[in-house]
Amino acid sequence: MEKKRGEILVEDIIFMVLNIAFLAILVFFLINQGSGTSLIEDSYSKQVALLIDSAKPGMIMKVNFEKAREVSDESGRAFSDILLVKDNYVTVKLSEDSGKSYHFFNDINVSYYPDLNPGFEGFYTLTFSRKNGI
Amino acid sequence: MKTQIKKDSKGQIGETLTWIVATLIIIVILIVFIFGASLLGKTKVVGNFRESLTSGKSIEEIDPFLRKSFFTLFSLNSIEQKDVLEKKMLSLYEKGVFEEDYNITRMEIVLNYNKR
Amino acid sequence: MVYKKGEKLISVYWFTILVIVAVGIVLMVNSYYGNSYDVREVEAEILSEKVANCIYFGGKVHPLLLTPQGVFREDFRDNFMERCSLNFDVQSEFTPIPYYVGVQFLTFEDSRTFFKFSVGNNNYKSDCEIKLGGSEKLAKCVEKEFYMKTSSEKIYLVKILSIVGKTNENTN
Repeated sequence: MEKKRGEILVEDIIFMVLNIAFLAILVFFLINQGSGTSLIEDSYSKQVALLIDSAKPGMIMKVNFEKAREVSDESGRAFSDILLVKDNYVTVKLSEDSGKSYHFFNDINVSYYPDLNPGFEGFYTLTFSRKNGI
Repeated sequence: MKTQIKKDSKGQIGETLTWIVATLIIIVILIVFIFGASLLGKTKVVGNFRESLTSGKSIEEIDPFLRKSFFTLFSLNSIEQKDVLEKKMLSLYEKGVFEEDYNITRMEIVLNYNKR
Repeated sequence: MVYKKGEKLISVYWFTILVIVAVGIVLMVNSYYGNSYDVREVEAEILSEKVANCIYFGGKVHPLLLTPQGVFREDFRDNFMERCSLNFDVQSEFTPIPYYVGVQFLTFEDSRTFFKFSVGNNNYKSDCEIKLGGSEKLAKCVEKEFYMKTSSEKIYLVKILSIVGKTNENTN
């Protein structure tokens, strides 16, 4: 069978559709990887640990967790539960089956809570105080 | 007829070789890019971490070790000791031990010291 | 008939190439995003700065480092972690301590080590001497120094070596 000029064959259409579907899946995968939960947890846990390491008693820090909040909202995790600071470890948990912890060396008391002030939604406030006996 | 078939065969072999070479080139290019991506991945570091988390202002690069040394220098009473210390500090600066600019930091501390 | 066979062959080949390229892209993305952030160098710098500020801040030496006569106190070495608000305790007893701090006080005149102490995991010290490619699997070392003056006008060169291990959390 010869191809007639100007006629779009079914095979060509299927071929193009398959190509487009393939590319769409690839792009979707790439976008998902870029905003990966694991990556954000890794980044936040480390950066907060370093902030705590460089903190001094009496300091107050307001930390922007908006990016993390977007991910935790999608997974259904409460914003007040995404950050845990305990036993010199910072843990950032954006969904039920993920989480990253990082150790910090500063022997300091850390109090932390979601900031309720207007304009600071999506922020955590960290306050630092001396540990008892030091 | 025989010549015609021969010519056709040559064309087919040529095209197959082209595809094989093209495939090999694609694979080599992909390997290079994968290697490059993994190298780029290794350069992921957190530098000005405070900037991204807390404020839009940039952080000044200061060297607390150079500044401590300057405080020591300016608190000395003996001029002889000051000269010797300054020479040693300059020597450390030239070795790249201090990160801030020596002269600018010196001026800054002199100004602050004089204000008091 | 020959033409059709040829077209089908090219389509199969075309998709094979697409799959190869897709696999390549997936590998590229994984090798980039799969890598953790390596914060150890910044961490080691913060650690050395904290130790330095503990020892000498605002032109004053830590009150418990020297006796009134200007002699270095052994109990400062023994209680260094507490004095400088450091906590190297990790969750599991099977996890090695991920830090090392070494402090040396050298005399101003002849750069002789007059007093020194260290805390943490000294197994990391050997990692500092190795300067090869692929060193991201080794601990990160930061060396800092500054001049300190005591109340009796004695000057010391203080050298601080800070090391952060944590290779699992910072490399792949």
